[in-house]
Amino acid sequence: MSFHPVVTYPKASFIETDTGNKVSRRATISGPQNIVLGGKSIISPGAILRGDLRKAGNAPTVVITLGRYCLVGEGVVVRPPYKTYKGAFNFYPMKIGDGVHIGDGSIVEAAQIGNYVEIGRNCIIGKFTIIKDCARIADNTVLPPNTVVPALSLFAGSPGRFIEDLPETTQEVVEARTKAHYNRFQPVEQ
Amino acid sequence: MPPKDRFIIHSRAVVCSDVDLKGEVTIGSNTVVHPKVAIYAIAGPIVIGSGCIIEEGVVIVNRRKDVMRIGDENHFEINSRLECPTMGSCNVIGTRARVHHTASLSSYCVIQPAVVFSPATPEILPDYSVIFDEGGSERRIWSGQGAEQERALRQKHAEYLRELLPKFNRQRKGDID
Repeated sequence: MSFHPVVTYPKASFIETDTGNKVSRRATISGPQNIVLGGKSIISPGAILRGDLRKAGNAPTVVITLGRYCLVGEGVVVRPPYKTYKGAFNFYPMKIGDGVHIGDGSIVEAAQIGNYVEIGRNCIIGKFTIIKDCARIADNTVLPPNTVVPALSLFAGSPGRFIEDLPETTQEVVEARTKAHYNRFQPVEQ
Repeated sequence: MPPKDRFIIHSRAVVCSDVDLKGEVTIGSNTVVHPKVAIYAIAGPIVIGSGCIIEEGVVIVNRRKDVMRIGDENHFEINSRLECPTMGSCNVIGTRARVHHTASLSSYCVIQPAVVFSPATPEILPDYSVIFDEGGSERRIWSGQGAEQERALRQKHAEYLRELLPKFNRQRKGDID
């Protein structure tokens, strides 16, 4: 149980989907047919999700996969990473696990983010970064491209470096916190 | 007295409709402008060359009376902010980097992510400069090795985006083609 007060929002400012995703009307979602939201995730105002930056070819692809109980903060930019492989330029899909909170103003170009990862405010997550489960990225961290963040570790600084190991209870704590955050986020009629 | 809005967008440039333009802006051929970009020519005009990539959230401002010239094949990454009077070609401005009006860039320069580059006196960065560390305090000259490969990547990137962006985003056209 959490004792934090309920956070309310005007009902008209968010769109709630059947699976409980709450997407702000002021968020920019390009290429929504290429984005999968797991359910009970919150997309805050001013966030930019670039589902249009997809792989070459006409086959339907999923560009951004977001798990359950995720929070994409205000002004966050989520865009898939790109590189040339065998001489051909391509964008690569991005997977984000369950219970991931991305703080306000962060820019994420990771290849993969595990479950219960906390990313602070104003972070820059470089291209093709892999963040494993239950890791934490402190505020204002700059992770260079191709960084691998191991499970249960705290990264901070510019460039982001390993600071300390996190306790093994992190998963339960973060899971409870993300669920509580979603449940506290309630609409009010206006 | 702000100048009248006048946008000249080359017919082969891709400019998304969700872009904020003000003043006299010229965008060259093959340049790609992502959504949510702001280009404000407050006092003097802004001229952007060909083959540039301008990613989302970039702000380009010209507060001076003179023309702000940006060369060819520059890459402005997400949320960077640019007020420099002139810029050469093949530069990279990293994610959320800022270049103040006191600094001008030559060619092949790199401003690393999250760097605020604001020299106290007007300065022109020589070719192949790299600015890094917090506050832009550290700099060095890059050997230029791999510049051609980088350029090839940039060209492929722009070419790919020119095909892809019109499929998902509405495009904006200039006043005169």
